[in-house]
Amino acid sequence: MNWFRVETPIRARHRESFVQDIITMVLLVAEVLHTGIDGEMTREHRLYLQVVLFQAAQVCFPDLTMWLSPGSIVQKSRTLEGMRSRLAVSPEYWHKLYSIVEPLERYGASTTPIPGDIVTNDTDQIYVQKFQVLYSMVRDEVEDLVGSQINDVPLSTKAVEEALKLLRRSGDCGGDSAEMLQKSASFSFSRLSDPTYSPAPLIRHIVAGFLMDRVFMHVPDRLVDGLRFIENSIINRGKFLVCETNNL
Amino acid sequence: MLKQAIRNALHRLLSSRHMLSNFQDVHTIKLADLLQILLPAASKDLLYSFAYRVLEAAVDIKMAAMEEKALYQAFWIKHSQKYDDQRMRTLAERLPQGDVLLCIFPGLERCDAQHGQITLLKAFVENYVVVEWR
Repeated sequence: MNWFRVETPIRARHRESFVQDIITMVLLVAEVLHTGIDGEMTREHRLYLQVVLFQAAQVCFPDLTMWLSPGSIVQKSRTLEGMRSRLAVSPEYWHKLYSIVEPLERYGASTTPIPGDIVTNDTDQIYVQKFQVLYSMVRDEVEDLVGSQINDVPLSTKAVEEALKLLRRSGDCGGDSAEMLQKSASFSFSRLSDPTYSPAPLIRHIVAGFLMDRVFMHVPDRLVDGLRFIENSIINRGKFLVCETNNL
Repeated sequence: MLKQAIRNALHRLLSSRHMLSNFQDVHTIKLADLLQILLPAASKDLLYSFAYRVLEAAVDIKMAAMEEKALYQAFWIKHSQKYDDQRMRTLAERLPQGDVLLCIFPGLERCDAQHGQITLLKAFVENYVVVEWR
């Protein structure tokens, strides 16, 4: 795949119109693809389109994010595609492409602040944006997952027990969820197959709880051993160890 | 100094390529397996792909936050807690009432010696009333 490259420097005032031209051109190509292949643009073509757009713009203008809103490009290309793909792409290939497209998507998501957020300084802003991107990813993809995969049949007792067991194993948040799902009359796994309720909140809750338990609050066993060793050293050697470290 | 040394050691330990990769692989399988039980009609590839990317993004945040001087940490709202407007929000249009039923996504806070705990992002929750209404 040969990426679009521009060797000639372009003056700042021409940059925006130049990139707009690139976008128009690529969208025109996309429309041709859209109408030419089975009447629908595939996920692969959508990714290809985004990669071309992003790479072209990035190669031309490293300060792209200062004045162009990639979120709007993504939106346009999504509209063209009709959102869903019918092409089966292998996960590895998808990951590879996604790693290139992701910066564009991230920027799009980060430009949409959630009302009510409290941001105090630049570093806070970075983490708030990262967190919002993660939130958007979980929200949108869970909606996609549950929207296309309706469970007609209620979960079996064995499946419910297995899910509760896995939840409890994941940690404190999972344990709390398992307890709630067992006790709560107004919310349980039976909602997953109830057509009058959306299963998305429950799935998002479970995914978010897993991330809390296994990533944000997780402490690896090797580290626990290391901390225990340090704690014992401090208890046994106390003042000496602290003085020694302070002198480093 | 001791605290910094521990944090640096932790960062070195966790950021080793092998450990991160192993961690991510193991947890991708665990999360995908859990989701597969709840969404049996979903394809395995789709669930693995979703789990992989979500974990990758979460690990990325955690690794970056560990390098900061201030402590950035996610917080979770437990089932049956009282609704607190300072740390929680709902997606419902009407005013939230009742206790928390589900925490949909954790909030983010910064803790440092100078300012204490500051909520940067409120946690998303749903309460009993909202769920009954759907």
